[in-house]
Amino acid sequence: MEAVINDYISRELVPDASLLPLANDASLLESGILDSLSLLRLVIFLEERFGITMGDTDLLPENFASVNAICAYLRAREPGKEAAHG
Amino acid sequence: MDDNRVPADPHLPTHWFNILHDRPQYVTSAVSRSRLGGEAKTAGHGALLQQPLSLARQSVNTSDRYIPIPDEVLDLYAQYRPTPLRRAARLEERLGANARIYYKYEGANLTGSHKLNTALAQAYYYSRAGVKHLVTGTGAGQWGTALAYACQLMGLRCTIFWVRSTLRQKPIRGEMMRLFGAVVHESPSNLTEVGRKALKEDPEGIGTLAGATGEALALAAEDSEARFAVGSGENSVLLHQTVIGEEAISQLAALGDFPDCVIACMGAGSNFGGITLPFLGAAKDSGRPVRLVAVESAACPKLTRGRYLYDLSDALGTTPITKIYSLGSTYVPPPVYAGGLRHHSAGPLVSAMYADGSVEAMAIDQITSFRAGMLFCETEGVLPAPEAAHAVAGMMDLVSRYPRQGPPLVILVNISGHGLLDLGAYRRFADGDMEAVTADEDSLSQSLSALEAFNQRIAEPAKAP
Repeated sequence: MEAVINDYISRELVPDASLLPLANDASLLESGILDSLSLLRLVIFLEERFGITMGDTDLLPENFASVNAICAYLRAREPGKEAAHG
Repeated sequence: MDDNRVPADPHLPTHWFNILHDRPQYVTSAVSRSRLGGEAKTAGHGALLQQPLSLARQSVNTSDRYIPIPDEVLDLYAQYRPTPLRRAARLEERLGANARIYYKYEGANLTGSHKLNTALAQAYYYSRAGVKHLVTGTGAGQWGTALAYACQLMGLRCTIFWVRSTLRQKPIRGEMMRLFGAVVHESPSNLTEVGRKALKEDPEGIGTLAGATGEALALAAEDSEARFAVGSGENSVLLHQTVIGEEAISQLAALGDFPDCVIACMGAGSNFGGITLPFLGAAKDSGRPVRLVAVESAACPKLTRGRYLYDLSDALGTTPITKIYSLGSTYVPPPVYAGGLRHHSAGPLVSAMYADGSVEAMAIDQITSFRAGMLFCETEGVLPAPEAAHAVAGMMDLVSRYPRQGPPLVILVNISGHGLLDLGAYRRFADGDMEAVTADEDSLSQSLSALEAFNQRIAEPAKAP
């Protein structure tokens, strides 16, 4: 899971090469890798890749702080769980 | 359907038309805020997205050509939609035009303009997401009025920063906003850092929409129950406005007609996109080409004289850096009565359409537009808002240059709002007490230089924090 997400972010969202290679514990927010538009792209990727639906209550900074944080959040979800606000 | 519901008019769409399905290349092009160095700003109060996810998705959806309108919103649309589509036969005769001129009239709802189409939708999505308070900036005041009304319907608080120059031109519109329960502030104000900075630089400054937007964003960031709502430019806003064009297609089809040209005024693009985007879809389906013409204010000619570069949409600097036709976010357009056309940039979607040649543009001064608005009122019994009068003037310009022989030009113009709160401006025009007002060359040149420098800055890799 970590490799898949790291690969997507590195390929699609990292704004310049100086931030690569991307460590799994590197901050995605403070570095500016995730802003409103790139976060939206990431959400759509995660939903399609992992067959989930996210809602507003999922979009917490702690869930998207790093690749590791995203994976922890995904593992904590119950399989097939639908979010409150789609 | 509940027994007490009036059956929907067959022309009332049940879905919004999503151009991103047909043209995914129009998905907004943006650069990371990290290019500015330092920490990326978020929406404040711990939220990563300013908009509810359900709303934000609409701006990037390339999968669905049609997006269902929620029943709650559709019921509210049915109170004032479909809006009239009429043929301007008396105007045709007066102009001696070789044309069939149709107009779509969006001014007949309580708030007086097309802005209600997205205000209702946004208030619905925000209220479902648990938001209690919407904050916004408004130029002409049409958006502020519409949002105030929509918030009242959805049980949300509403705070509006209104550009000073327009607030002082037509304070009565502020009373409408307050009637609907909104708190209205003149912008620039002393309530936010953005406003205080602007007031310090020029205590008598007339204000800009970018400044009012910045103030609204700043205030929204201080309140955990609040979010900023935007009245134009965003893809989702244009999506909600597509009910205008969808209805027009259906209404024209009932008359056995289809336009050669669709024309609307251009602020950031919501009424323009609303009426034109479905025609792009219809043209694709039918194989019949259609010209789309945007009419902007000569005081704020972002398409005809701007640059297609990356820029911000607000003075606070928290909005995404997107590729747009812009005069620069520091440009202060001279005051004109069409306050809704004073935004320094076009939205990303209309910008992309203009860049690939799908849209034409012309700039019209306010004398020409008020003259056209007066004639439209005389012949059609509809007084266009100053913004919509620009569209009428553009339409008359196209019709006047069209050959008098041969097949007639079929043209559709969007009258985005009424001008009943602009009677003072029409009076000034009639008295000869009005200037044409075009962009100030020095101010424009300085702002465009700053815009180009900004683009050079963000083109360089960010320095390590």
